[in-house]
Amino acid sequence: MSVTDAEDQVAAHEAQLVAEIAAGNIEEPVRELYRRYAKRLYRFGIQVLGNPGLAEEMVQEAFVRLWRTAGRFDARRGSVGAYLTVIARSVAADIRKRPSSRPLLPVEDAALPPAWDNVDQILDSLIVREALDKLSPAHALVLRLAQDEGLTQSQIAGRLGLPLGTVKTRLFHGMRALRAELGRRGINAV
Amino acid sequence: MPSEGRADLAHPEVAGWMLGKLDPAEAEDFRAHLARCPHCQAAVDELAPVGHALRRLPPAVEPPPSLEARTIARVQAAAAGPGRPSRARIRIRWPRWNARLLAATAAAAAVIAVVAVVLSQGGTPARSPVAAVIVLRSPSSGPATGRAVVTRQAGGWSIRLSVNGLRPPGPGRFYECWYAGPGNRPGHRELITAGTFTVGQDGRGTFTMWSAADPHIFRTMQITTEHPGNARQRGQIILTGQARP
Repeated sequence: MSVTDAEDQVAAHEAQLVAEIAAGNIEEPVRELYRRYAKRLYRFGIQVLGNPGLAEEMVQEAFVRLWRTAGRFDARRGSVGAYLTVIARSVAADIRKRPSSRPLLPVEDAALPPAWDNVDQILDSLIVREALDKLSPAHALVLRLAQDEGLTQSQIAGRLGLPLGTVKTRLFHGMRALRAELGRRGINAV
Repeated sequence: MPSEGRADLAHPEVAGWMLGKLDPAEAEDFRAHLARCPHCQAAVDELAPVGHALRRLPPAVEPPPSLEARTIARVQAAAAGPGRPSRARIRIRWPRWNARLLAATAAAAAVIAVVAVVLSQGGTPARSPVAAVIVLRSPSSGPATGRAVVTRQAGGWSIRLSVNGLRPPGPGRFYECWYAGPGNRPGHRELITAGTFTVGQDGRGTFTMWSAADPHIFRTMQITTEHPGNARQRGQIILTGQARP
């Protein structure tokens, strides 16, 4: 099966799930779409709202709005994943406008969610995270330890019980694999 | 100016240097090496955007496990309410898609396709709304139930079938889904098969099938038990229902 065929089949399947939701069959189609997209939506919510509780609310409301608008979903205009992302963005904007979601006391800038005009960058960064998840476990692990935990190569080698040279090689090839994965996702890293 | 070296021949130290993961002495040594190594220079050129992307990685947070059930419950509660609002009240404005989001979603979907069970064959993206919904009941008032949602596709109709309460069909047997036409009767079969499936001990499943039968003409759906090598409907009708638009 070619990548294009696979994309077409998944797009058709997901569009059908939305059609089922529109027809009133909710539980299984919503569950399936949730399992495909909740992680992306939740991380987006954390990034733009800066609060796990608000991010959870955003995810739930996004799926409610998906149900409400499912009958008007048009697969010619974009994928279900893109549609859900648009919905989530709209929900997040509504939550941010709500007075109760704003901090009442002055806080340090670092504690504030990012400015709304950074949303495109946030979406890009989420795509990078998803691309990282698709690398081989060996490559993804060393990159995660380096970036998420801030470990040096020597520390990674100690943590994993690997020769230092192996860690260096995996980091190098992991970055090259990530470059290729991002290229497939339209991120200009090629 | 791009380096004339080959990135694939670069010293692997280059990744740690770009990510700031070398010890200070290692970093100093590599800096000196880089100044005279065209392959490492090529790798730096090639991997710079990746290093930039990695430095902006969002936290790898996971949604809490309970959120799935709460989300489904909230959608169900909304659906059990007064119904969907009118078109005027909710608008989802599709932006002019930036290629990244579309490509990212497509790529993610392709990956899903490779690892997931592909439920449909030969399809093209759905472009039309639901053509019919068929609620399936046991003709003998048995516990089995089913529901089929039929969607018009470019090459016919796809059927998303969910069943509950079926018995496992037994060794060498399977369930078959049929469309029956208006003239179908004993001795004059007017049937088109939509596909076959089986269920496990839990008696349930959701399947995607394809058929050329127009559910507005072939309005009756039947589920029977069959066995291999039998191209005709011979088994007992376990579930049946009528398509409604």
